[in-house]
Amino acid sequence: MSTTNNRQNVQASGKLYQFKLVLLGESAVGKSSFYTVYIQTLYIGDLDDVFQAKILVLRFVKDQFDDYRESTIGAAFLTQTISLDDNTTVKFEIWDTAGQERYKSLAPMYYRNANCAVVVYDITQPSSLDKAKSWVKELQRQADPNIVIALAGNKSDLSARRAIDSEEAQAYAADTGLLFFETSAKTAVNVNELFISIAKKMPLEQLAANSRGRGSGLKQRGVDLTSPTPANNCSC
Amino acid sequence: MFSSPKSPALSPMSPIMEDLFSDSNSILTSDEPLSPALQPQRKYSALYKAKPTTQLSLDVSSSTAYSSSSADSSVKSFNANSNKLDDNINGETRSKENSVDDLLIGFMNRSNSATSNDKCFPAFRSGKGFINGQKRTIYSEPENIGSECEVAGSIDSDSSIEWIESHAMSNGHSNIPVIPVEEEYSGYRRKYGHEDPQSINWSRHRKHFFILSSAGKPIYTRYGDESRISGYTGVIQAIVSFFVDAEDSIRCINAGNHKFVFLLKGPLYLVAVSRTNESETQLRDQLSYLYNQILSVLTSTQLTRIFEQRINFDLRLLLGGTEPFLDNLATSMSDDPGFMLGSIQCVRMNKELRDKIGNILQTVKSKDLLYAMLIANNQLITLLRPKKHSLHPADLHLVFNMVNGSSTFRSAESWTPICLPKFNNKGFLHAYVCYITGNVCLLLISPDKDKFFELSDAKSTIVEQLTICNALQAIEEVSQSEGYSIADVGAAGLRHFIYKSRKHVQYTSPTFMAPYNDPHEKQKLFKLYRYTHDRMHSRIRPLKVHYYVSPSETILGWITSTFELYAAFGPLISKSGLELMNKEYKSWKELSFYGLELEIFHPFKRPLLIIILYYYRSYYLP
Repeated sequence: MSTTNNRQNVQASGKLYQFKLVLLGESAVGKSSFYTVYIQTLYIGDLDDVFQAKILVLRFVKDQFDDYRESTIGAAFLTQTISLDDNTTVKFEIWDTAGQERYKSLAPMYYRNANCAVVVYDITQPSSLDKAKSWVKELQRQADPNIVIALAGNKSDLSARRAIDSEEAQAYAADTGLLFFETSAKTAVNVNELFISIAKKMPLEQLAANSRGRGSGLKQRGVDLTSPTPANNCSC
Repeated sequence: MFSSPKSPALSPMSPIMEDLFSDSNSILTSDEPLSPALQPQRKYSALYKAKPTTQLSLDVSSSTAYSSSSADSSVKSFNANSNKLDDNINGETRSKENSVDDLLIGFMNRSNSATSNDKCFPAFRSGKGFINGQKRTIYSEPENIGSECEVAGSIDSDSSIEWIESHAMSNGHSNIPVIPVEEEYSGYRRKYGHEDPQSINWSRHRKHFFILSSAGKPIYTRYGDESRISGYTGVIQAIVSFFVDAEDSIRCINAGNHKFVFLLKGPLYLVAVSRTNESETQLRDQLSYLYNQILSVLTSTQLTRIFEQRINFDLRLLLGGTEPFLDNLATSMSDDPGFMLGSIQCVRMNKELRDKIGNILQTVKSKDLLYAMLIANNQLITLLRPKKHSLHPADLHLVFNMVNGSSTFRSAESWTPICLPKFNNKGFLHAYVCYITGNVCLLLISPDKDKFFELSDAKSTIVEQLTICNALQAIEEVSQSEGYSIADVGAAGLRHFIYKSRKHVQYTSPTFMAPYNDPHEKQKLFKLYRYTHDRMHSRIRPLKVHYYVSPSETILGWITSTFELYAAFGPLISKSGLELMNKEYKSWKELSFYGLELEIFHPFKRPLLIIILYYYRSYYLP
């Protein structure tokens, strides 16, 4: 990953938007496959629908979908910065968390500053929806109040082994005010749609205003952003 | 000089035949070519009839068999102070007639009778009736075991069977069942996860590891599925508690070629079942590594608390996703001498480059950072540590195993809690893991769980600076080079060696050139090293120098206050020749080895940065 280049891009441009996303859900529901597919498709999709700008097709993760992907260890952090035009830069930051119970106490660190969360469950595993519901509850209680939450019923390609009704999850999502899609990370069905509707629900202003106070962390911010990093919710 | 027996039938053999081939050295060395047409099934059924008795018979009578099997010895140990080889090297001729393995088994058995049996069997005798009663339960197919003992023999490491099996699979002869559909993309696929614990394939593995809770619940098995070995874990639990009742604890059972080694760690029981000729101590060390691996995921605090609350807790619920690390550890313990030696290997590079890298790492010093290290191919490039907190090799092995055991670190920056048991087994540290080039992995360890972004920025700084002074490219090049060959060392007659600096707990070893590039030969050499290591570190009579002649190698082991050396020479080297060489090597060792040492063992030598520890304040305790 050519982080140096990205940094230069950011410095040269006018506006920086940050798109901070966290993936949550029980282990083995396909979170990591999800973001791989997501990143691959996002730039190909109708970004200009959202950002009114040129699309820069970039693929920075070349992983193919892997049926036997190893579990994520702890959490994986992915960033990618793309320039939509000379003045607009969007920085994606994705926290892909491990689904195992033992990592649960670390989760607040990952969703604390996220402006959107994708809670994933596996339509073939009844327990995974319960887990997803508890994540939603936790997010609504503890995360940023403006966070956009999407519920994704993954592995829709395995519909023959479906254990969770689409309607049931749909009803739950409507009740709690979540975006809802049944997706397949394997066939990329609905993955694009899910992320586009997240983006639509989240105005650019919010993306810019909601930037995480990261202390001295982000060097390029001094160039681009007017607001110095406030010592708001970061405990460092 | 050196002849490596090759079977013409290697490639077209059916998998079972290949296993047979790999398992039995007598078949291997036999002049009779193996017939690929021989029906393996028939062969096995013949064996069942011929040998119906089970290898796992835990009769005390087997212990007497051991002591009688060690009539001749080609091993002569002598004291380094005498500095002279004993004239009386018996059995050298005999050792050329017999296969090395037969001799070794004899020796191992003798050492068994001398060490472990003394301890195990008195207690064991008392439990004889009980265990005999359990015999059939341990392996419900005693015929399989009988057949196994017939073909069991010689090749030491369990990894040889893995090699053979993968070979078999590539030939399309695999009789391994298809993965059940339920497992479809549900995460990590274990190589042997689908094996039926009742099958021959399963029981034929050379080294099994089991981890169970004190309530008898399975936690981990190296082969097969944990949920299907609960019968065995129940038996293990029964055996252990039988001795616990008598306020005793079981340590080892020797049953023919098999060793059952137990390690009881509070709520966890770890058991190794092995026919690799490794000693009880070596197997127990390996069990400790596995135990540490579990601690590194859970911490001892959490582990104890869980089982205090619920003695029959299913620990697999908490260990999910750890199997790749346990599997990887189990495999590397068989072919990485670092585990046996309790030391690590460093990437060989010139001092200037390492200094440069070390200086750059130092620039990111902060109180958030406890350890910083660069790793390539399971070897250390450099390590930054607080002056008062050296990193124990066992912890380093865990770190290496973590980086090496999962491919997920390659795709992104990762942030994971890790407990380093030798550093502090009660709490977590947090590791930032990121590959900065294709091979080179940067690890930054912080005591604070919220410092990801600080360390991520530190990484950017490090990468920038490394790029500026062209060190990044140089590291990547070095990490891709293959190390040095024995020819580079320039010592005639020497085929291979392992040199461990005791002070720096690091070892160095040349690459495996012919004939040791053959996995089979490599394993044979490893077996000799292991045997020598075990003899020299025997608790009853530790040795300073050990000289051993096998048909294919002469192994010299030499321990001083500063180093341990295991060197392999050709088999025909005469004792006077070795004596001469020994003198020669003295100077050679002093010069070349210290030259090497300056180069290779450098990172621990330099005065290291003092980092103030805040861990008692910001330690992550769940």
